[in-house]
Amino acid sequence: MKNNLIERYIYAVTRHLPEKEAVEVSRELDELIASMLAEKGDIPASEDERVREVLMELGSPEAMAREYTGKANDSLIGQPHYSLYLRVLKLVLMAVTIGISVALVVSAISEGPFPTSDTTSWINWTLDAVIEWFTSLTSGLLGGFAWVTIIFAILYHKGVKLDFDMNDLDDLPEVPEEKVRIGRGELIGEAIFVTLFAILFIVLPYVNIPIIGIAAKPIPLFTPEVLISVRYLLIASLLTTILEMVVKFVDGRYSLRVFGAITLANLVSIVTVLTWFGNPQAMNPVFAERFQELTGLSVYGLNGQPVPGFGGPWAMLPLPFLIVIVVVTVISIIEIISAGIKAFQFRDKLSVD
Amino acid sequence: MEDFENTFENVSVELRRGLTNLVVLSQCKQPVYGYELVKTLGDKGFPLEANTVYPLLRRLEKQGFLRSDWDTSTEKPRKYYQISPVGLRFYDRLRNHWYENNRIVQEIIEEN
Repeated sequence: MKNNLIERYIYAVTRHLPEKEAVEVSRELDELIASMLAEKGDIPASEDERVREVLMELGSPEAMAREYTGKANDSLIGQPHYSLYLRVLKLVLMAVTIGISVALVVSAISEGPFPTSDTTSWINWTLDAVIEWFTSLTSGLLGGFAWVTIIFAILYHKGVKLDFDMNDLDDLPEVPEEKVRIGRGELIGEAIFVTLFAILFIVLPYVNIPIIGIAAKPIPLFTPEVLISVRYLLIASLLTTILEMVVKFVDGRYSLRVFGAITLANLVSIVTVLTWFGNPQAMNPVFAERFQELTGLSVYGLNGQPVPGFGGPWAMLPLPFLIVIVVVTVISIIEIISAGIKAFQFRDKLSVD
Repeated sequence: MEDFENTFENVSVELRRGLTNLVVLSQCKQPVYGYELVKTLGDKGFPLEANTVYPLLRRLEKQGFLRSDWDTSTEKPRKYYQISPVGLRFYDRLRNHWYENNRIVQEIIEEN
């Protein structure tokens, strides 16, 4: 009985140690326990009671094993990663909450009992919407939390450096001028937009942007099948925009890396918008028909006539879509050029100093 | 008040932690076995638990500061630790560091 308890204790300490070390530690602990037992030799108690007393004094085998492996202070995410982890986590959870809430309001409206219905269906609709909001938010927040935590745990355990070494004071990053700094507000705005975009166009293509009040049921503005056919481009846009945000967050100013990420994300956006809005079927035909019935105007081209200055099928795209294509392309190009100027200006300033 | 006690406990443990290496190395000039160390340090008023001392001795051995030998001549085999030449250098430096800091800290806190 006595031996059994001691053996079990020693095994509990050594079972996770490397084999060679486990043998040595077992011998040491055996010696220690024997010494402690010998000390208690004159105490009037049974052998078993004495063994129990000694083992209780030695404390939890897990704690002892941690001392032996030198992992007593190990953690999932330690400093300096922990501070950045908390900041990123707050940002992600905030963006997920706002994004999911707005997206679900839009999706709930599209399923609403419009235009007139009895009280019961209104109550059911509200209940359904609240339950869906709650479940989606819970899983969204858990997902966000899990991803951020996993990524930072890996970075921490791989020893990826997030701050710079203090070998040379001249290596301290320059304080960016006000105009090349990237504000937190800008990033939060982008994060919300990205979450909404992903939910409405990638997750819920059959809902997308529901137009209400023009028919008995809300009509999605975009043709769901077209959305599905450009899904890979939408996902590519999403990923490159997230990459851009991560780089912006880490650098906090318009650096060359930020410029590279902005260029990539904007080029993918241009291709996506050209392919998606440039598809003659991009606007839901049901919506287009209903629009013509209500207003007597055609959404295609300039009231059914080709838009001057545009050739081929482009001239007959819905005018608002054509405007979106032009505006997105122009803005993206301006954004790339302006990020480039800011990045290079800042670099020149550094090299002049 | 519980916070006061807890904080005091935590801070004093932190203070002692750094000194443990110094104190243990100082006792290893002659061959000594783990439990003997636990007893002598306890008698001298610097009590350390066996579950701290044993892993610490092994760590110091791995770092090359201690050497060990099993004495199997007696009925109860025992592992004896003794300081190595590198360990001695390390101990001297640590001891001087402690004296110096102790002096400075004393001066600072007795100024006021």
